[in-house]
Amino acid sequence: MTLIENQQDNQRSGLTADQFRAIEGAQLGDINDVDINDVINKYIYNQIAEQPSYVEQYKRYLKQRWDVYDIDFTQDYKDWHENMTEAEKSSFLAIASGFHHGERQVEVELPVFMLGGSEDQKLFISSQIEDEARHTVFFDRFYHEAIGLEGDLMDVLDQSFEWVGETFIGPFGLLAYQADALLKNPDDLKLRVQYATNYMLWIEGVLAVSVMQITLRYARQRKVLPGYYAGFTLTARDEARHVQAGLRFLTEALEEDPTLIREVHDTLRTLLLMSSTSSQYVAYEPIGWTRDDVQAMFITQLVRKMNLIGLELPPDLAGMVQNISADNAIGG
Amino acid sequence: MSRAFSEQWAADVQERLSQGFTEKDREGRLPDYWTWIDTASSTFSGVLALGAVPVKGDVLDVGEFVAIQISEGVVQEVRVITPDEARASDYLLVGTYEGWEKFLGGYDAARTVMYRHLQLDHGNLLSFFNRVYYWIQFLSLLHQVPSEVVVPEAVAA
Repeated sequence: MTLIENQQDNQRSGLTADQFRAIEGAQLGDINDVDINDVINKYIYNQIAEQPSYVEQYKRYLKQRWDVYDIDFTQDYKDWHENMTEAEKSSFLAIASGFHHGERQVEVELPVFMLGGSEDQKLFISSQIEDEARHTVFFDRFYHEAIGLEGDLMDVLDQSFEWVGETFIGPFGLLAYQADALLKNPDDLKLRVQYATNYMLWIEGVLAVSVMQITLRYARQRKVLPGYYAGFTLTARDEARHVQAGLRFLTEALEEDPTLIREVHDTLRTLLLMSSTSSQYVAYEPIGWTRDDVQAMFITQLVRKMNLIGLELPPDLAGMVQNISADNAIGG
Repeated sequence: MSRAFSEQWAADVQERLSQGFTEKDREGRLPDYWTWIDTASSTFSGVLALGAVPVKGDVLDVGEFVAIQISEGVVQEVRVITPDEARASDYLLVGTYEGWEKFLGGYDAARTVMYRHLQLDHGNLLSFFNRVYYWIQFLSLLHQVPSEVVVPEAVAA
């Protein structure tokens, strides 16, 4: 997709004012009326053109914050144990477990990125850290109360790791080590751009917004797991703020020093190489998806995000994009 | 069973790593994953150093190290080295003795990296991750080397 085609796509996918207000102001009680497709494929892009400042994003955070302990998983428990097939549950767990660990990783690796930010950015990142912690608790509660795992946060993480694909360590291990490097040099703009390319562009902007659609569309169409749908759709709305702020950071960094494009490309080169394989095959069909659908989502989301920061993929990266494994939905 | 980071342990590690990945090691994962790893390993020649220190963030001078010399994915030699030699390696992974005890006791390599029981002290980060699944499976082979982790008195002092 070229830049012009992408802009046309954005225009086509724009929300009406009423649709936008419905998502922007949705509370826990009415979020189940929102279609996840509108959040992921329209709402995120609808706002990007406005380039909200970090302070504006912080204000939105305060209005959109939700209480993870208000979600009721009673029906989810019934659906999991009485209404879903074993094949559905197996596919669902393979995908959701990567998110469980992913949310934990982005929570604990983010504080170091705050150290080198502007004061406005620090303010926003403080809210993002709280968002990610809340998302981690959301998954912890889901695994406890809907699926039936037992123990404290770490116990549940250890148990759900059984379903996480081995390639999870690619982007999320890289993030941990990038955070280590940043801790030594928090103001190093090259390191910050590499970090943001992985965290905000790839993990949140490509992996998360693609994979969210898989389980959420399934839950919506199958009419199961209403607690999961509510909490994870609100999570998707939170991620919209994170992606927008991350792309803003990358855009401003590239404006300040256009040579930093090399850091974006080099990081993407590593990410695409890591994403070209998987240790496990994911059965998407039981939850209503095909492998081609999933791979196409990854590619579309990456091209869109690159266009939004004003970059096109160089030929070698454009070729690597075609090799993204559909099985990356199980964790990277 | 040999003490981790001793001369005997280095010899034991060399014996196991030089055999490469067996069919049993490859079981349970897609062939494409192993093709990726085989390609990644065959293009690496250099030194991966492993280090143990008493406390996370300690200066390297208080630690113990081994160097794993690799040529196009084949382990040539594993030997005990000095901190200065460790600093000269292509990649240096360092953990605390406590972290090594957990890992060598069977804790999986992916979470050992993710939870920072092992950290990349130096080496090009992106190039390390260009071969990350190779390194993860490579480190996992250490689980097959009977090891005990003991902090040497000289180090503990």
